[in-house]
This record gives sequence, structure tokens and C-alpha cells, in this order.
Amino acid sequence: MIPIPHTWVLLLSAVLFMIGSMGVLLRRNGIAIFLSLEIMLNSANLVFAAFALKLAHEGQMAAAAAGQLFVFFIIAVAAAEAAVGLALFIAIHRLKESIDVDRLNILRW
Amino acid sequence: MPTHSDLVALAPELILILAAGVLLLVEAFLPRIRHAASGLALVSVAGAAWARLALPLPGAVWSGMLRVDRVTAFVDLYILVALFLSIWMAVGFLRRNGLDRAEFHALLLLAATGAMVMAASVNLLTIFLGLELLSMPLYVLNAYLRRVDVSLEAGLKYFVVGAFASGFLAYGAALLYGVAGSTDLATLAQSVVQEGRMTPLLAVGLAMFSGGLLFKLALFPFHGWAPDVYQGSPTPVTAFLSAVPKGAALVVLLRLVISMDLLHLTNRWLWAGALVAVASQFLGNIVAIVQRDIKRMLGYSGIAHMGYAMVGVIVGGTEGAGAVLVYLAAYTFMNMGAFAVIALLSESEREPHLIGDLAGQGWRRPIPALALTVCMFSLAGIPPFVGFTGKFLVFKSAVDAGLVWLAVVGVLNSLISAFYYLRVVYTLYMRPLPRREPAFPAGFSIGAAAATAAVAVVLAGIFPAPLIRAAEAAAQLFLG
Amino acid sequence: MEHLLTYVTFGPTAAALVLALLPERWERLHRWLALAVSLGLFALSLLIWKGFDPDITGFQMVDGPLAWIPQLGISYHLGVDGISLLLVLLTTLLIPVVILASWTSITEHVKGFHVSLLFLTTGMIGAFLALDIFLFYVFWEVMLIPMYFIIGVWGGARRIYAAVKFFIYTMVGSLLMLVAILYLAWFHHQLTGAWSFAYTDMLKTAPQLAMGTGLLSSPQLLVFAAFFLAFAIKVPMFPFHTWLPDAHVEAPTGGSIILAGVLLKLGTYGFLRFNRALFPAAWEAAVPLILVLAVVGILYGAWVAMVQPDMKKLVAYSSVSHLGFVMLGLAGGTLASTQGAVLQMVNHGLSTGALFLLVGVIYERRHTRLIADYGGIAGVVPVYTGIFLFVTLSSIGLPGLNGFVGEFLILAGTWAGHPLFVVLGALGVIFGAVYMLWMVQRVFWNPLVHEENRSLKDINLREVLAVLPLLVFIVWIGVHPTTFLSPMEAAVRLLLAR
Repeated sequence: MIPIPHTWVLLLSAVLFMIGSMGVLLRRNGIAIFLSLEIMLNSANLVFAAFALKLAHEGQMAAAAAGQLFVFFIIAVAAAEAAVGLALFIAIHRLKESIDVDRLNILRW
Repeated sequence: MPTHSDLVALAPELILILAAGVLLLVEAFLPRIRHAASGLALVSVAGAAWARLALPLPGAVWSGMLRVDRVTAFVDLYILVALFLSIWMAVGFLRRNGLDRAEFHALLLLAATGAMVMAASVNLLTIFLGLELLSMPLYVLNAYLRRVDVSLEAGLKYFVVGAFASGFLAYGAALLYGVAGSTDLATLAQSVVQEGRMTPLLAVGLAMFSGGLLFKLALFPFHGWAPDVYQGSPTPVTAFLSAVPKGAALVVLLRLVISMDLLHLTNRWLWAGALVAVASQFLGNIVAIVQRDIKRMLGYSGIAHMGYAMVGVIVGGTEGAGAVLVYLAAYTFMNMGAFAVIALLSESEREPHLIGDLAGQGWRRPIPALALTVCMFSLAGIPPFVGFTGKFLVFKSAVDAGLVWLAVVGVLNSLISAFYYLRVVYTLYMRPLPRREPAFPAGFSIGAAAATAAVAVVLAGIFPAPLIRAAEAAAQLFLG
Repeated sequence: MEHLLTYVTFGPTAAALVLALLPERWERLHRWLALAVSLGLFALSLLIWKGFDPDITGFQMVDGPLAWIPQLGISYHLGVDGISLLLVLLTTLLIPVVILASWTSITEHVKGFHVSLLFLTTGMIGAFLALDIFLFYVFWEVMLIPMYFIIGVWGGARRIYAAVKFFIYTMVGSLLMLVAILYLAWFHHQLTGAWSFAYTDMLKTAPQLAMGTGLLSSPQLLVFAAFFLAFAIKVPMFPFHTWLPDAHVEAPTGGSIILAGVLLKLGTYGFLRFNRALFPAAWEAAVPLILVLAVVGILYGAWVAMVQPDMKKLVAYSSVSHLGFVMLGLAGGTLASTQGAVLQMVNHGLSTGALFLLVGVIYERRHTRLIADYGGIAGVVPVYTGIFLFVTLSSIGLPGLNGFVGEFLILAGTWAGHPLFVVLGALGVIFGAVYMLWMVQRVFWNPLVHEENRSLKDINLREVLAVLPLLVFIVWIGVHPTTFLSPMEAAVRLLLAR
């Protein structure tokens, strides 16, 4: 295994987080927004992994395990979110024949 | 293996989960008795509350990930009261909209469980899990009126914003993990206090983590979703939404802030916190004035009220924490009462709930109108109602911390808010009935929920000592 | 009687709750019951008078302190001294008057009106008797709600506007007062280590607030200013008076009587009880400002009153003018001027209350308050004319009636210290006579041009009964003011000694 400095992983995760955030804010298609949310959550996963890696290198295995554990939980939660969110999109599609979020923006000031 | 005290500590949550499971099974296999679902739900909530009150509070449980002490007990009771009132007011509401299903109550119970777990959490992981457990049923519940487009819009907005916030929270949690080398809050606090100053990693981590929490609290700058979601979602869900996530998020925030003594750690906390609080207050109050839909107005009012509560969070310490806890309890009662009456006095969920529709109802339906009036005056912070007690304590904590200007801004905002709360009152009593009288349904359960909340608002306002005592006892433990 | 003060304060609330449970349509019962309760309340307050010992300094018949919010040192604490005694009596005297005056003019939601009135009574009496600053604040704010309803539900065409204006204006001042109260409590805690909101404790610690060089660097001046604003809006002092004309014009007759009769006095009482007593150093510094504002109020109120076409608005501005006199007396700072000011508070309640009542009488008949719509009605309604003229003379300070005693004491008492302001104030007396007598001339003696006025019914028995108590006291205070001056002497002396 090539040792990867954890700072590089942090950098990558920051970039991914920003991509994800931009996606949520700028995309119009519901599925695309959803994908961006997943990217955000996974970038958090990467941060956990990066710090867990660092802690493992320093020999604190228990602490590293806590971070790795968190990753699993985030993955599970993301899956649950997927289920709920997609169900929501289906309901919207049934009513509005589209999942373009701009079209579902009735409520204003 | 979970120990005996672990299970005892989580007895209320387990009762709710069990009840939710039963309700889901009833919904699936025994649809004919689904009308009894609300009764079962209410009983389980009462049971959970009894469990929390009667069973001992063990303190740190589940390997130190949760902490069930007086703080948790206070917030749990507050969540359970809000839950009870929401379910109670949902009974008539659901029947009227043809959606009287057990799954609704099951989802509410699960959401409340998530909030209770969050309130008891002293570990980043359980906070995250509790938050998600709280949010996911709410994503569904907001969109429960599937055929009403504003409800779907509310659900969508809450989902996107909520998931976005969860992303922030997770990322922030990861960074904090990096700072502390552990997901435990106490360890984090220790390393921060040892460090003695704010490092960039800590600052960004805290900012993002709290950002996620600020979403849930609908505070500036993450408040944008609140008015739309409040307006579109089914009224009992709005009521629940206005109270429970706020309580859970505020407790987490309080635990963070107080354990790190942020006010004295860095100057930036005061400025950041004050910016959030003051901006939320002004924004919430000023925009609320031009609102014509009452639920939307209450959405903006909620933003402002969390701004007032934020003042207590900024101040921190036992006084600030005690004030925030009292404020939460006060806010729950006032808001629940208001939403219950709105649920009662609304013709159809497709139409906006215009304030103008309430014209003259003060004399037509005196008791719900009186309940709404009491809640409005309480929200405006007029004695002898509990809303005044909450604001008094929050502003007092600011003055005692030497931040008199925060208190002045707060009272100024209370004044601004009087405009729109008064408008509801004068519409009820001082405007004539419209030519076509609205066909509001009769509803015992909703009326009873409203009356209960209103009575609580009055009683807690006139005799606030027990509430204050409980909050202060709890607040001591934030430092312990 | 033990706990007499509590009965007087909360008796109306209990009655209001009983009334609230009775059905809406039993209108006659509501009126009679409210009247009976209010007369009983007046009787109870006479008991306070009887049991009051004028030689004791400090507060008497103290009820409490009963720990209310012990963690904060807030207690339920009532007490009466010479000053609050007179004001409580004024309040309980005016409530039956209001009920009688509104007997036929309030026809809708009768229950609501009387319930609101009774809650308002509790608020007013409680504010006068409170010996705990938090308690005082609660009563002060509690008064807002029923008054808001009274103006907004039973008022005239622009009632919602007037009610909201009244509410918001009053709230501005009182909210800043809240911050000041919080600061006072914190300061007390800094000095003594204990939390307390008790007035008697504040009397010891508040004067110790630092007096800096400028407003912003001086905690005592800032706290003083916050209280000042709240009370100045209530009195109302120029330039915070703009809510009053609207409120009076739109309020129902009964509402105007109690507003002018008692509510405004809460402002002047507050000046005495809080600004003067708690912050003597700041008061010293502020006396020039108060003098100026008082005199401006006297003259401005009089001038604007002169050009009013609406009788009620005229009387409203006359209130601004009269209460300017009260403020002049308070600023004068001598025993005579302060006693005159307190007496004038009562006098104004009686005279202006009576004026509003009488305007209401004629309004009920013709549904117009414009002076131009009347003229020459003296012959048509002779009894009414007589009473109106009598009250006018009281209002303008004719010797032998109550107004003269108050005004004389104020002017004489202030002369030694501030002669210029006395001269200007005396001008105000003259102007007062001008606008009142001119109004009376135009309404009663000018040629009768409007035919509708020929068939006006004279003042009936109920209306006479309503105004009679006021007339009695107008005379009594005028010919034997000592009855009313001696009880308050001890209290005023104590206050001025600070």
C-alpha cells in the first residue's frame, strides 16, 4: 500500500464537498440534486477516513476505529436518505409530471 | 453488551420505538383498527413521559455516548409534550383530510425518538444518528398530503435543505474528529480547552457542524426554507416541526458551547453568534409583518424566536442555558397552541391559511380564538404569559453577562413583532365577519389540544417558578 | 382586614372570570354585576382609606413579600402610601362611573367590555400598589391588553389604527424600561451579592448607580432615561403625545374616561415613584429638561386645543396641557409643588373624566362630536348645560373648585426655584380658560342653527348618577383640600428628602 499523506485526502474531500454543494444549489433536476447530496456525504466520509488514517499512523487504533465506524454509519444513513428522497421524487413526479425543482417553486414571499 | 442501566436510560425511546413498530404493523395488517392508532400513540407518549420521570437518571450510559441526566430529562419531557400535542391535534385533522392512517403517528413517534436521542447525545456519532432519525420521518411527513402541491413542495424543500444540512453536519463532525481524535464531546472540549485558542481546523469544524444545526433551527443564514415549509406542510406536522427539532438542536449546541466555554475562548464567537441572533430576529420580525398567510407568518416568527433563544446560547453558562431551556418550553406551548387553533380554523389544506379568513371569529368561536389570542400575546412577550418569562430570562442573561446591547436589540425586536401578532388579534375581534362565512369544521381533539396549550401558557406565565427551578437544576449539569 | 390590598387588586380579576363564564346574551346581568363589583371595590378602597395612618412614613398594609420566583428574588409584594392611596381611590371611583356611562352606549359584546374593564382595573390598581419592580412591570404591561381591546373593539371608525398605535407607543417605552429593570437588578446583585427586585431594596441601591459625565457614560442617566421614556409616553409629555388624540377620539366614552382618568396618571406616578425616588442625582440633572417639556406641553396642548373642531380631541389636548402642569409641579421639587402635582393628578382624573363623560352624553344623542354641529343648546338641555359649565369651571381652575387648589400649589411651589416657568405655566391657565369657555360658548350659547338640536333630550338620571360622584369630589377637594393633602404629606416628604 502506498502511504497517502492524509492532507491530500483532506484536500480531495474539500473539493468534493464544494462540488456537491454547488450541485445542490445550482442543478435543477431532482436526481442530479440528489447525486450532489450523496457526493457531499461521501466527502465527509473521506475526511473521517483521512483522520482515521492519521490516527492509525500515530498508533491510536481505538480512535481510528471510531472514525471508520462513523463512515459506515454515514453510508447507512445515506442509503436511507436515498430511499426516502426518491420516494418523495416519485410522489412529486406523479403530481407534476416532472422533477424539475424550479417548476415546483410555487411558494414565494 | 448493553447494561441494565443503559436500557433503563433509554426506556422512553424504546417505548416509542415499540409503539411505532406496532403501529406500522397495524397499518399493514389490521387496517380496520387504524382509527385506534392515535389512542395507542398517545398512550405510548404518556408512558414514555412517565418512564422518564419515574425511572432513575443514570448519567453516562451506552459507553459514554449518551448522557441521561436532568438536562436530557427536561428536554425529553418537552419533546414528549410537543409530540403529545401534535398527535392530539392531528386526530381531527387527518380524519378531515381522509388520511387517518397509523403510519402518520408511527412516523411522528420515530421522529421524536430521534430528537430524544439527539438531546441525550454527547458523542458526534449519536448526534448525527439522532438528527437523521429525527429528519427522515419529517421529510415524509411534510409531504404527507400527497395530492396537495404545496405540501409536496414543503417536503421537497425540507428534504433538500435537510440533507444539505446533514452533509454540513457530517463534514463538520469529521473535522472535529480530526481536532479531538475522538468523536466524544467531552474529549473534544478537553482538547480545545487545553489548546486555549481557536485553531483554523476547529473553527471550520465548529462552523460547519453548527451550520448543520442552524439549518434545523432555521436561523440566519440558513432560514430560507422555514416559511415555505411551514406554509405547505400539514398543520400538525408544522406544529411538531416548529418545536421538536429546535429543542434537540439547541441542546446539542448548548452542550458544545458551554463545554468549550466559547464566549471566553474567542471574541469571534460573540460576533458570529450575535450576527446570527440579531439578523434572525430582524429578518424574521420584519418580513413577518407583510405576510398574509398565518402559517408563513409563524414560520418567520419562529426564525425570530430562535434568534432570541440564540442570545441565551451566546451568553452560555448556567444562566444562559437555563434561560434557553425555559425559552424552549415556553416557545413549545405558545406555538403548539397557535398551530392547533390554525388547524381548527382552516377550511381546506389546498388554500392558503389567510389571516383575513379569521375575521370576526373571535366572537363566533370564542374559545379557540381566545387560545390563539393568548398564544399571540405570549409570542409577543407580553406578561403575564410564559413568552414573557422566556424573553425576560434570556434578556436578563444577556444583561448579566455585560451584553446589554443584545438585550436592547432583543426588546426592540419584540416591539417590531408586536405588529404582526396584534394583527391576528385585531382580525379576530375587531374586524367584521366576511359576507361568506368560512365553513370551519368542528373538532374536539384539536380544540382540546389548543386549550391545553393555552392554559399552560397562562399558568406557566403566572407561576413560572417550577419551570425555572427545573431548568436551572438542569442547566447546572451542562458544566458538570 | 388582612390582605386587603390583594382583595382590591385581584377582586376585579375574580369577578372578570365569573363574568366570562356567564352566557353572552345575559347582558343586563353583566352590567349590573359589573356595577355591583365595582361599587364593592370602591367600598373596599374606602376601607383602605379608613385604615390608613397618615403619620406613618413608608408603606402600609403591606401584603407579602411572598416569594414568587425565588431564584431571581422576585416576590409578590403590595403596599400603599399616601400617594398611591389617592390614586387607588381615584381608580375605584371611576370604574362605576365608566360602567354607568357605558350603560346604553356599549351594545355589542357587552360581556367582553366588562371583562376587559375588570382586568384593566386589576392592572391599574396593581401597578399603583406594587412594591416589587418586576411585579410593577407585569401590571404595567398587563394593562395594555384590555385597553387595546376596549379601544379596538368598541371604538369608532379608525379604532384599529388607534388601538395599535396606543399599544405600540406604550410598548416602546416599556420595553426599554424592562432592560433598565434588568440592569438595576444586576447592579443590585453586584453590590449586595443577592438577587432582588424589591422596591425597598432598590431604594437603597439604585441611587448608587454611577453618574458619569455624558449620557452614554453614565449608567444612572441611562437607566433614568429608559424609565423616563416609558413614563413620558404614558403621561403623555410632548413630544411623545401623538398617540393620545387618536386613542381618545376613537375610544368609546367609557374607555376615554378611564384612559384620561387613570391610565395617564400611571405615567406621572411612575415619574414620582421611580425616576424621582430611585435616581435623585439623575433627576437633579434632568429637572431643566422636564421643566421645558412640561411648559411646552402646557402651552402646546392649549394652543392645539384651541383650534380643534372635535370636542373630544379638544379635551384630549387639554389633557396634554393639564398633565404638563403636573410635570411642572413634580419638577418644581418643593413640598407644595409636589403635593399640588399629586392632587392635580386626582383633579384631572375627576374633571377630565367628567368632561369625557359629558361629551359622550351628547354624542350618544347626536352621534357627532363636532362643535360646529351644535350651538345654542343651552335652552334645550338646561341641566346638562349646568353640569357641563360646572365641570368646565373646575377644569380651568376656578377658585373654590378642585382645579384651583392643584394649580395654585404647583405654581406657588415652583415659583421660588423657577419663576420663568411659573409665568409660562400661568399663561397656560389663561389659555385653558380661553379654549374651554370658547367651546362652551359655541356649543351652548351661539344661535341654534341645527334643527336636530331642538329635540335633544336632556341628561337623564343614569347619566347624572354617573357624573355625580365626580362633581361631589370636585367640590370637596376645592373647599376642603386638606382631607386629601394630609394623607400624602408624609409620603411626599419622604420622597423629597432623597
